Amino acid sequence: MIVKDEYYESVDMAIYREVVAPVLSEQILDIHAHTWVQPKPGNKLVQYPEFNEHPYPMERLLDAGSLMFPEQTYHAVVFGSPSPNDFDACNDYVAQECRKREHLYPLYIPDMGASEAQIRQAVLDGGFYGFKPYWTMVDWKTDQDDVTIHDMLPEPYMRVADDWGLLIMLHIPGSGRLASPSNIEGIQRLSREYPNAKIIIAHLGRSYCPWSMKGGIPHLCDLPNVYWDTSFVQQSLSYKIFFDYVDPAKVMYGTDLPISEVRGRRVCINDNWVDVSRKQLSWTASRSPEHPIVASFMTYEMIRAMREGAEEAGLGLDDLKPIFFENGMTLIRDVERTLESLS
Amino acid sequence: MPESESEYYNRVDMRVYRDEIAPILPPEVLDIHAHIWSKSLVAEKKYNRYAASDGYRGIPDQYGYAELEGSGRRLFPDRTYHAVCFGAPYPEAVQLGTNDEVSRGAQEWPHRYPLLVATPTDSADELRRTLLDGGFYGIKVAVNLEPHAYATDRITHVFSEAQRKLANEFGLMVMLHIPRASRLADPEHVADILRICSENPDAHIILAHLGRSYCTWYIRDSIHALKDIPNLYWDVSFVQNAMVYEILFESVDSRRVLFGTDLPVADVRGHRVCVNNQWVDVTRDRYSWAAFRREGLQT
Repeated sequence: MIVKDEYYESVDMAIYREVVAPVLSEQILDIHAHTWVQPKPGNKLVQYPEFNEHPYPMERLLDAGSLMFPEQTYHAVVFGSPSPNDFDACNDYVAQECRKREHLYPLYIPDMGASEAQIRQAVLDGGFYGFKPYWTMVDWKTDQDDVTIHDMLPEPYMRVADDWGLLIMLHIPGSGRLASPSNIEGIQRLSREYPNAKIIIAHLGRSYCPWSMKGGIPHLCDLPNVYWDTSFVQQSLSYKIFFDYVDPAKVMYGTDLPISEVRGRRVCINDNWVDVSRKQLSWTASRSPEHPIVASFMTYEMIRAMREGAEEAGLGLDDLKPIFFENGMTLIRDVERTLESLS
Repeated sequence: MPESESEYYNRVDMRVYRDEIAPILPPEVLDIHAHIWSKSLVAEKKYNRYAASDGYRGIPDQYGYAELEGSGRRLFPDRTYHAVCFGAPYPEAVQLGTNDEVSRGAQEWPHRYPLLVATPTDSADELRRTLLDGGFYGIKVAVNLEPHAYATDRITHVFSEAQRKLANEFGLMVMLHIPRASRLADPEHVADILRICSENPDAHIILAHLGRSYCTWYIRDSIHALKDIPNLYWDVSFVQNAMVYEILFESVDSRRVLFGTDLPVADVRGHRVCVNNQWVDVTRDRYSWAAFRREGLQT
């Protein structure tokens, strides 16, 4: 939990003023944020146990948003924990919490067996803006490398998304990430066959290291209904390569909270990502408690890396500002109009 | 059974070597930046006195020409390894005789090109005599580390006038490790480098570690003023940030860029990364100055 203490004021806020505030306006849209109640035992998500094994209620997400962006109104596209034994409760919780507040836009974690009629009803009942598929929901395959985009997004979901112009927050599967021919083909197919769906590639296609971006982006940069969520990418060269190809108007900032509450940075070592943190966590690299790294939220390191990469690609602050609100809100308002017309 | 050192070397290190390193190497490799020291001479003086970094404890106390040769063979197994070598670059190590040791060894080992670690207090006569007697190819400017701050001097202080004149007269290499926390981004450093290069056109000034640019902000703005200086060269040793290289090669002719390792520290498995604009060494094994995963980096 983030505490407003001396470290927050002296370190985090110094970086906020220097790195973060210059690209923000009065409102910020976080296109990728999680919230969940107490996870059930047997959660398939074994990463980040300090977070995934504990509740992350909406109140905490909103506290984090207001502490990280103290001068902005925080908007967020929110979804639960994509676990086969938990998603139902998560969907209900997210819908209920978003209904109570302004500026929150829930996504639905797909029930893989639902019919098209059930999906339409679930969207309308919950006020969902779209879907958040995830490889763990494909419960008939245990190895992520065997899961395809097609597995994660059954036809009925895509038909509804296409019909109503909904958001698809697509966390692509597999160790080949954005450079995987199967993923490239899968994204191209979705874009072609469902031109009204708004396909958002989460984490820039999980391009935490430049090789993934380099291998995939030339094949995907021009797809008209494909958008890009930058959440958790903290590698400036990935952004440089990305902005060499993609119009910043197709890009949206996201935090991937709660994980980005961690003070540190996701780096690349030998072409694999490693999280480096100030505090010792079970999955991170950290220095001894006597010499901790002076680090701030990964939320901020994403912005630092984006600014560095964008600058090298010849973009200025004015090109980046819409990434933090307007670009995503344009899509959200479009979905809102559709949902209102249906109700 | 845990994987042995040689199994790991063959499985991981050599795969990286074959995929990424070997394709860009000629038959012979020149390492422009390698250290030599012996336990008997400088064991206590090779450490960085700047307490915040805790020195490099865990790096071998004994690292002579034989150990350097071993590293060269291990890192570049099918290439002939050449190296520009020098001792621990601190005034205390000079007083203890590091230069004699480096000079003697270079006469016994092929493909080794020694540099003289020079301090600002060395007189012109002393420097000339030591350089010629020792067969040195140039100067490694000593770094005056301080107990409570990294070296704070100007370049024109640590790289003395006597050193500069001699470097110009003999056309020597000068391995310049710039001081101060502001590194290459320091406007006084940029001004000093411009002046030194202009006043000493026959000296070959080599900026060690790209001016200690382990993160982008050190080099991003200053490189524009320095990119076209004909006698300024760029030693990439220990720089592991791909964006820094992107910035470097956008501005500087690759013919003035030199590969270096900074051995023995570069024998460590890991990566120097940037977190919050500061460098952090992330390592597979445990070191007091590094960040590491408690279960080890598996890749």
